Amino acid sequence: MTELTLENISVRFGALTALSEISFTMSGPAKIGLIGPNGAGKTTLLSAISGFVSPSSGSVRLDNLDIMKLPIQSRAEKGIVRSFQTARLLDEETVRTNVLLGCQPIAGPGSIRQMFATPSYRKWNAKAKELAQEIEQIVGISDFSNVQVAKLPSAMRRFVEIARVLVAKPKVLLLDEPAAGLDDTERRQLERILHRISGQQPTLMVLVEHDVAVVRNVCDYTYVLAEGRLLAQGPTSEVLMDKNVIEAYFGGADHA
Amino acid sequence: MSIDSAIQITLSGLATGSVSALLLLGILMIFRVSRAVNFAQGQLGMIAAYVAYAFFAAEVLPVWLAIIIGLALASILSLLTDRIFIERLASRGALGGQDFVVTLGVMLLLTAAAETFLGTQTQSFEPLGNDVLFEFRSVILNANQIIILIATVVILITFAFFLRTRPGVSMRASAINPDLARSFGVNVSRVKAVTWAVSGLLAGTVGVIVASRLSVDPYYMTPFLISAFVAGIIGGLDRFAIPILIAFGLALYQNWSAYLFGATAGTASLFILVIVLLAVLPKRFLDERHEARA
Amino acid sequence: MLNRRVALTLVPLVVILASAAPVLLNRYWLFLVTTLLAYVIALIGLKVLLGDAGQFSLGQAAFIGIGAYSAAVITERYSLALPLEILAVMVICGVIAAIIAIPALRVSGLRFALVTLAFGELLQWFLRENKNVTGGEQGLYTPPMLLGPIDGKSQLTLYVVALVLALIFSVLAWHIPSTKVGRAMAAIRESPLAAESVGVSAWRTKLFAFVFAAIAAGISGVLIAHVSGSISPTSFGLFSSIYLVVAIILGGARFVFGAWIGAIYLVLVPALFTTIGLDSVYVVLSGAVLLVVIMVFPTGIAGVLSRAMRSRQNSPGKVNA
Repeated sequence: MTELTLENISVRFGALTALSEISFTMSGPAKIGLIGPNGAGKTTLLSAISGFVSPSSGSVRLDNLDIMKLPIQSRAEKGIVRSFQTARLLDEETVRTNVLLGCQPIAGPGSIRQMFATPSYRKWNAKAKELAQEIEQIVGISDFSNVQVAKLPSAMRRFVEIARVLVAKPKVLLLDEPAAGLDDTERRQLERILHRISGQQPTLMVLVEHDVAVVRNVCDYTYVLAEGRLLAQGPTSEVLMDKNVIEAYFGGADHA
Repeated sequence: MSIDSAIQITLSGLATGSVSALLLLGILMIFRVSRAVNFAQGQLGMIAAYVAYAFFAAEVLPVWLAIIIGLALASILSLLTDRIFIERLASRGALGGQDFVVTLGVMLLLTAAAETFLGTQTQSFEPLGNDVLFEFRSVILNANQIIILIATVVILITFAFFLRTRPGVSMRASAINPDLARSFGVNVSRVKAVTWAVSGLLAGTVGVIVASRLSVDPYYMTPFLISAFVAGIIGGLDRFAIPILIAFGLALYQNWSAYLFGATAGTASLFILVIVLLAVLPKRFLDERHEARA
Repeated sequence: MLNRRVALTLVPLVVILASAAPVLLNRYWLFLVTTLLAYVIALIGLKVLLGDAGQFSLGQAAFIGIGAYSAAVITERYSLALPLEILAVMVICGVIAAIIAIPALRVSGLRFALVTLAFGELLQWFLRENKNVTGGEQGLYTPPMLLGPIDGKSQLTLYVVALVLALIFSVLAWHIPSTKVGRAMAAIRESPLAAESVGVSAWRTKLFAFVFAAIAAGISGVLIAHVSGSISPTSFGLFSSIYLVVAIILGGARFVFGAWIGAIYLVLVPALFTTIGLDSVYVVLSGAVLLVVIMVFPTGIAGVLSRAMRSRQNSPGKVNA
């Protein structure tokens, strides 16, 4: 059981308030959606949870541990990982190397032992390789394990990043619009992957998506953000029929 | 310690500072227009002086003409560096540190050319006013120092005004977003060419002036180049007033250190300062300017 | 880079060449080869710092100098045997690198280069000023290595020691990119954003690379001090650091093999030019070399060879591993 609690989180960038008094508690394992019109603050919220942005006020707790002061690495070590709208990958390296990068937060022998390939490191490395193979299977990129990322089409790159964030079996998985730019087949593949993951690992998955269909197919529970505030929350089907939510989206065409 | 000594040290420090400042100005101009770091700036100056020397020592040309030829050569070489190397790298995508290496290569090439064709021994240049002394109370400055001080101030003020004119503003635009600049009618190509050429001219001027003070070997510009870069890197290569002021400040600091602690302490003090500053300044001042996070 | 087949053909070749060298070469050329092996180690340090971690250092020659002067002083005053001497130099270089790291690792790119430059210049000043300890401008004489019963003065001993050390460093540096910290270095080098996303500790990774490079340079310095017998500040200044960077970029900064090629360029090429009588050409060459490499084949000679071998592997009719 993983519990992620936000209390009165506000994020201000100068005069602009991106998030205002956001409070909720998410418990996992679960597949939770986070939707809202453009500029609602969804990405900012993910950034605040994972440590890429420092809130101006409020607190974030993971399983009752206050993680507000922790830098990104430490949060990653505690099991909070996040993907990005444009995949941040090492283009010159292979898929396998990129996936293995996801194992960085997993504790292991120090750099000197790694360099000398001591038995303790070889054990760590074997375990990491095993995890990488496993996740590549699930995501469906095993055939491209040795291919240089730069040579892959953009949908594949997205899947590589997903593999990377999943490889270390995180407690909290924050996905930022993973379906953006995917065609129908790829979208269905993404949905399959997300279902398979939740079957295999007890992850608290928070999915930010513009593509409401994906949210409907994948997430049991959904939060709606609009203009930096929590507009609605509830079981996905209910939320998607909520009048306020619909208005926020269609009335939201005027927002930047 | 008398007021006169204090004034003496300060003024001669400023005179040295103006050399670094002029060298730095050329570097700043190039960074502004091409986002490139020109390590060859010092050696461009050296080549100008060496070539001029070659011409007038052999009595082929009068001194003033030889110097003009040297300056013109520095200007042309600077322009060529841009056309042949920097532009090509830029068209391949973001420079990403390759400009360091390329200008380092140009620097080595120029050093080598000087060593091969013009000899490695130290020479002494034409005095150029170094021997004309002005005395005020007991403060002694030579004509060379006075000229360079005045010239530097004039050039810097001119440049400060220039930056506010349309061509001045377009310099930065040419580097950051050349296509946008072109759509505003800026001739990006010409802006870059002129900037690199003028920068070369500045480098040549500095080279000649410094050569007239010291006995020179192919590496004589290195300390000035280092000082210029220290000031530029600490102050910010994309700025103008701050790094220039720092250049003067550093020269003063070095001169005073040399007076207080001995001649060689001057050089060491600079590097100690650099290391201490970078160890101690808060992170905010140290981060390279980041692009806004998406 | 090396696949099984290439490795299997290369290894016996290397072993044969390595054993033949002391027999076939005369004193002078053996001395050159040993010097070359010493520089391989320093260049391997740069391979990890510059090639793998992407940090541009202008202070590698300074660390070689620290190693060299330490070796001279240690052997002269304390008569330590070689293994202890090497250990001592490793500690000295490691500690100094850790201290310099405090300002150096807070910044990157040009500023990092500047800190390493400043350190190098400070070392120069220190070496030239402290005449009683370091011999000032004149430099220091280095007594031969102490290896118990083995003759530390003989060319053969020096050659074997250098060879063993060069091979050890080669294997270590070849292994690094496939380790956890090596991947972290790749992230820092290629995409600081990606590095941040996976929670890589930039300063810890850079520290490892920086200390590794410093220790490699230090050991290189020990060898150079014993091989040449006398050392002076000029060999360890800014321009030497620059030539080291040129050498590794020419060889191919991402490849251990690049360090070997770079060392050939650094040591054998000037020697060759001197024998022909064209001393100054080398200087001109370096600048031109750097320009050509960056503009035409930025991955260096090793990079070009690696790509050539890989396309041979991928040619039709062959099945990929």
